[in-house]
Amino acid sequence: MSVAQEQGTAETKIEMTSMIDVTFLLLIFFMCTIKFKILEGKLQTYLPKDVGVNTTPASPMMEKVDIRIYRMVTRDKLNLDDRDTFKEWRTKGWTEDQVEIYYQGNPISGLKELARELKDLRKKIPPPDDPGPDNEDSLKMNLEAMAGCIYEDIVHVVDVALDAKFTSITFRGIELDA
Amino acid sequence: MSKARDEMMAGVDLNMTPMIDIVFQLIIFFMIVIDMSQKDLEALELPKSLKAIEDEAEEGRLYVNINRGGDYILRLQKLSLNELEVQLKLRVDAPMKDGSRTRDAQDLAVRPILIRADRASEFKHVQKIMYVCGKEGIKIWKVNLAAAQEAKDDEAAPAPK
Repeated sequence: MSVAQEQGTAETKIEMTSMIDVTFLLLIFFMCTIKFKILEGKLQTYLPKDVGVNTTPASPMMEKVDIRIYRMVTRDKLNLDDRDTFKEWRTKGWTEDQVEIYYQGNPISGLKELARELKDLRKKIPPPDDPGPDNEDSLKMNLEAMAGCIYEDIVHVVDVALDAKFTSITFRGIELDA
Repeated sequence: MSKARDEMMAGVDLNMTPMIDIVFQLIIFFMIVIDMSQKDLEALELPKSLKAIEDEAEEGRLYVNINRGGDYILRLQKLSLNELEVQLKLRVDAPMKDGSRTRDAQDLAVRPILIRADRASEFKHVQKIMYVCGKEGIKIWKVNLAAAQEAKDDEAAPAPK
């Protein structure tokens, strides 16, 4: 490098302060807005391919399982829309005494009894080897969630049904006008 | 500040280079991990399920969120059921990224839908979305229900041999 060039660049200094300011602003922005990817699970379901949701009365089947769920402690009573009440309910967790389950029209004690009943039934009618949307189960389940039932009630019952290898579950009792 | 201290500090020069290096590394990290697609996912508390399988995002999947109060939320927008139906009709036939068909031979939508409902939301709202999915012009048959995966007992505490 020539002496003249050295003298020319000797005084040049990059102003770092503004760059650091901007950099820190960017850092703070990313730290405040970041949301890490949420890892979730799913319950894979398929609607009937032929008609979508069937609005006509179901034809009588040889073997079917009827389950009806009533919510005894309704959302209104719990007032789950209130932040503090919801917090308290969430801490206590979901309990079986909040719902009443009817199996084939008869009240049962809870999910454990339901699991027992379904497994007994499965011994008589085993599931298909390769269950799926194209290979339907001969044993169908009608799940009727009565007014007031919350999503969590259904997930627990569906869990028990899936555990007993039920793959064909029909949800009944939709209120279209509400 | 005393004069003696002033004189002592005059020669101290803070080396900024490693700090800037670290800050830039942090910015790059946040830029990479930030997930802009999160606007599909509303902050909800999902019910825990033992039978929930791991969710892998499928191409072209639609997301509908239901909050605790029973509002339908599609990409941060609160919608009524009728508005949701209109939106689903518009989105279900939107071209796929790879240019593949949006409907199969039976005229059913190729796109799946993920219904994300809060654990305390009424189930009738989920049923209503299922009803809409089966309607003419929509015909989504792959309906997934979101749930949080619960650790199974046998995984949490292995059985003694």
